[in-house]
Parts: sequence; C-alpha cells; structure tokens
Amino acid sequence: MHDSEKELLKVKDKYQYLKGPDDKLDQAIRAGINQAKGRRSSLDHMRHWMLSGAAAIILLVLFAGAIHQSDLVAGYVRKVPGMEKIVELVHQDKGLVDLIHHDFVQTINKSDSHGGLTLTVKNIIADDQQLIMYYTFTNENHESFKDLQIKSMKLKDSVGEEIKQYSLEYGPDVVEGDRKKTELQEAIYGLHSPLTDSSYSLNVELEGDKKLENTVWKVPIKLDRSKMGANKDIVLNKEVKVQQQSVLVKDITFSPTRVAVQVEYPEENSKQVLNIEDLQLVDEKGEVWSKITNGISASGDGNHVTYYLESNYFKKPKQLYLVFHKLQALDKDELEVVVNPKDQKILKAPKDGKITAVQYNLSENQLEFKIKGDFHIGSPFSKYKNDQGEFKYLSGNTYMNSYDNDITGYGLTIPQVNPVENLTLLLGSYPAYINGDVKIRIK
Amino acid sequence: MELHDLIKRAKKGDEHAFYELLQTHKQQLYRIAYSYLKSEADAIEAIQETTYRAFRSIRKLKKPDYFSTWLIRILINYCNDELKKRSRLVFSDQFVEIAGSRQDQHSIEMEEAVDQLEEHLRQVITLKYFHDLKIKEIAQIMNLPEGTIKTWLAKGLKILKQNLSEEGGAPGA
Repeated sequence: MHDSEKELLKVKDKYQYLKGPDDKLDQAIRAGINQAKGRRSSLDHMRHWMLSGAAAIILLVLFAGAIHQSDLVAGYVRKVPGMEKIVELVHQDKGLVDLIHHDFVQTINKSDSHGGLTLTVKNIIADDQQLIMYYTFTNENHESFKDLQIKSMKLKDSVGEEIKQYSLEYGPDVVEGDRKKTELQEAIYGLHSPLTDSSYSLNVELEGDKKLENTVWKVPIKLDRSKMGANKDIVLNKEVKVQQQSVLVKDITFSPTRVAVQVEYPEENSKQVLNIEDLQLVDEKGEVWSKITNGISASGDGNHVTYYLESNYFKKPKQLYLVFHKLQALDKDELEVVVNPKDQKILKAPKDGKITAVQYNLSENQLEFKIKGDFHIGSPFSKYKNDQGEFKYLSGNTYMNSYDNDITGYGLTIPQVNPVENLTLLLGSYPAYINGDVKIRIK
Repeated sequence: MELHDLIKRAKKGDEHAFYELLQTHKQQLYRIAYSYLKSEADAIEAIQETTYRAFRSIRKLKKPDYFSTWLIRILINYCNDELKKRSRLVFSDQFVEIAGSRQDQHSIEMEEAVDQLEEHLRQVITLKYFHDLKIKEIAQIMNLPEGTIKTWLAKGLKILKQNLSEEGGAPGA
C-alpha cells in the first residue's frame, strides 16, 4: 500500500468514530420533512383558490402566514423567474430574503465580452452602505483557460472616477474552460459613502491566463433609486454593564441590506472586550435578527467596533430590543502573546493556559497554535509588533483546524522571515467569556 | 421493516416511512457532511436541507436500490454549493471580521492536500477513503462509469503522493 493511502486511511479513522448528536439530527430530519410538506400543501392551496377566483385576497393571507418562516419565504421567491439562484445565495440571511420579497432587487442584464469570455451583471441590490452584484462569467467558445481569477474589480462613476471601497468580497474562480455550467457569483462592494450618481461602470480585470492580460471588462450599471431604501439612524448612546465592563451602544443604522450597530468599549474598562458573541435584534413577538453569518460580521478596531446584523428594514415591529448575553473579554495586560518561533516556545500568554502549544513550520513560515476552549468566531490574532515596535495588522493566510471538541488549531503566516527573533502577537479573539443579560429597548 | 418496503412507501409520500429511512442513514450523512463543512451546526443544517430536497423529489427516484447513493448525491451537491458560497475573497482597507468564510475551515495536512485536488478527484478520494464507499456506489452517486472512477482514484492518489512528498515547496516563503 502506498504511504499516501495509509495516510488517507488515518483520516478515515477520524471520521469513522465521528457521531452526530442524535436529537439534533432527528429535529433536522423532521424540520426537513415539514418544510417539504409545508411548501407542497400551500402551493396546492394556492392553485385551488386561484381557480375559484378569490386569488388576490387569499394569496395575501397565505403570504402573511408564511412570512414568519424565512425558509418558506425563500420557497415562494424561488418561484419568481430569475430569482431562484439569488435566493440560494442569500438564503442564510433573512434580511436579504426579505429584501428580495419586497422587490428591491434591480435587474441589470448587461454584458461585455473579450476573448470569448462574457461578464454579465444580472442583478444588483444597492443601498447607502453596500452594492451587491450578481454576475456570471460565461466561456462562449469553451476555450481552455488556466486558473482564471479576478485581479481587480472597480466601480467607476459617470466621469470615470473610481468609487473607493471600504471592503470588497467576491468569488474566487472565474470560469473553467471545460465546464458548460455557469455559476452565479456574488460580489459585495462596501461603500464609504452613498452612491449619488445614476450611472456607473463595473470594470473587471482577470489574471491567470496570458491571453487575457490587459483586458478590461466594462459593464454599465444604472441605478433605480426607487429600489434603494434610505438609511434610518437611531442614536442611542446607552451604556450598559456586563460584569463591571462597560459597553456603550452608540447608534444603530438600519439599511435594506443590513443593520449596523456601532459600539464603543470605554478606556476605563479593566478588561478588553474582544467580541460580542450573540448580538441580536428581537421584536415583541420574539422574532430574531442575528449577526451576518456569511460575510462581514464586524469591522473596526480595538474600542470602536461596528457589528452587522441581518436587516429588519421592511418589518414594522411595535417594539424592538437589542439583546446580548455573552462577551469575549480578557484582562488588558493579557492581550499580548510572545512566542519564539525557533524554539517553538510560548514566552507569554493569558494565564488561564488555554494556548497550549505552538509549532513553527519553516518551509511555510507559519506558526501553528493549539488553543483550548469553545470558540469559532474570528481569528485569535489580529496584529503583530514589527521591528519598530508598532502593531501592524496581520495579513491573510490564516487558517483553522478542528482537532476535537476541545482543541482548535490555528495557523498564521508570520511576517518576519527570520525566526530567531521573538514575535509579539496581539489577541483579537479568545475563548474567555463574561456573561450578562442585556436588553436595550430601541423602539 | 424491510428497507425496500420503506422506500416504496416513501415514494408514495408516506412521511413516517421516509423518516424511518432517514434514521438509518443519518449518521453516515452526518459524517459525510461534517467532512465537507467541518462544523456540527453546518452538518446538521445539511441534513435538514437534504431531507427537504429528498422528500420533495423522492417520487422521481427511479430505482429504489439506489436510494442510499441518491441521498448521498443530494447531500454532496448541497455541500459543494455551500463550500462554493463560502469561498469568497475579501479585501478591505481596515480590520474586518469574516464569519463563515472558507479560510477558517481548512484542515490537517492530508485533508488539506485532498482539499486542493480538483473537485472531481477530491470527490472520489473523499468518498472512497474517508467514507469507505465502494467504487460501484461512488459511480452511482456521481452518475459515471466505474472505469472513470477507478481512473480518477489512481490519478488523485498519484497527485497526493507527489504533493505530500514535496518538501519546502512553498513559493515565496
């Protein structure tokens, strides 16, 4: 047997003894069946009533009943031509599903072709905070390209001025030569300031194939202002305490695509709050809007953080509360972790001892930590100290492994190539928690 | 009750029979989902979505013998779509925290090497070695001749062997 085959069988052992939680699996199975039944029966109802001529009223009633379950809404919207794929992409975010239902998706359907590759922007969703674009790359001649990736994606206004982005997310691979299927991709352009022009151009450059270098795909995008809801801002400036640590909730911005909650952690706190784990909006009926689960969930730095929640823009709740219970927090003098990569030693770390080991991989210039405890959000380390003693952001190339329920492995590519020096890292996320019961009335 | 009978009843829309069937498959489905998505919550959601899709379309299942592989195929299609959705590149001029993105979900060396294989090779290697499925079953799941699966297995193993024996191959390190 090959060595690699033996290695593969080791991985198999790991999965062989993996057991899912029976009760949760049973619940999931029941939910799946109910979901399938629910959809089928309401569709049957609809057909029946449409025949009997009372369609309009009954459809409204059915819809009002269905709206509490975003899955059901997604089920309905899947029926709207052209929307199925978008619903699939956004279905984890009930705010976006709601937005589709309220017809806030704009149709663009404009293309540009070069070298047999066509970029089509199918739809967009725009508000004052984000421009979300749904696009495809189609390989018309089924030519073979190698590892085509997006090199740059820029939005330009009518005079050709580039719109500065605050963040940009998009899919990794563009097209595979031998694959006829065209995937709908999503790109999210985070805006510094609202789009004030009515015509823009999306300019995309690719890399990975010499034939297409220096080619720019330009697709015109016209905005329909009637499908762009304005921000609604609520200034709170309300300070709450969780185990002697203060959290100042400054303001909340409601936009169609997301809710941004601006939070400040006062300097006087003895601990550094690293994260609010379970921030939610809850209305009087108990309906919950949670943190964005696929995409950017927070931005900011240190004591000034903005958290992003699913949008409840189209709901008109009588009462609305901001609720949270669980914060990640560490004593301020425990934030720095010092390691010696060469000796694979931890010289300084939080005293609870949850960082249990560090390994250095010379060929990859990577450090791998083992960290005990329950956490799955964010990267443990946010910054490193450079030669001048300044803290700088660690750039990408980080990864996480799950060893078992208790230990998580975390790896990062270190910025210094010479591993002789000690390296100081700053913790940005850590499995130490303080618990409270915060409920702030917003409305 | 006999599996065949359960499948027959499920095809007629009997939800209890369908529930029973899923009971016998749930742990295997969970293991496969977990190996793709690497989290309990995501694996459970995958089971729910698979149940939903399967129950919705079980009438279309032609050969009852293929129920298991049909179910696994639905699950794998879902998992592949999920992974595709997650793997986004994110650029920002300040600190942003990303939830649910792929870069946090990589795995240990061998699994990482498998992850880097082309999709079709990864699929056959994962099903054969991590989940112990027979070549015949993999052929059913992927809707391809057994010969193709064998060729892909050999090709995948060869690439894995090459990649794992290479030392210090990280460019620019």
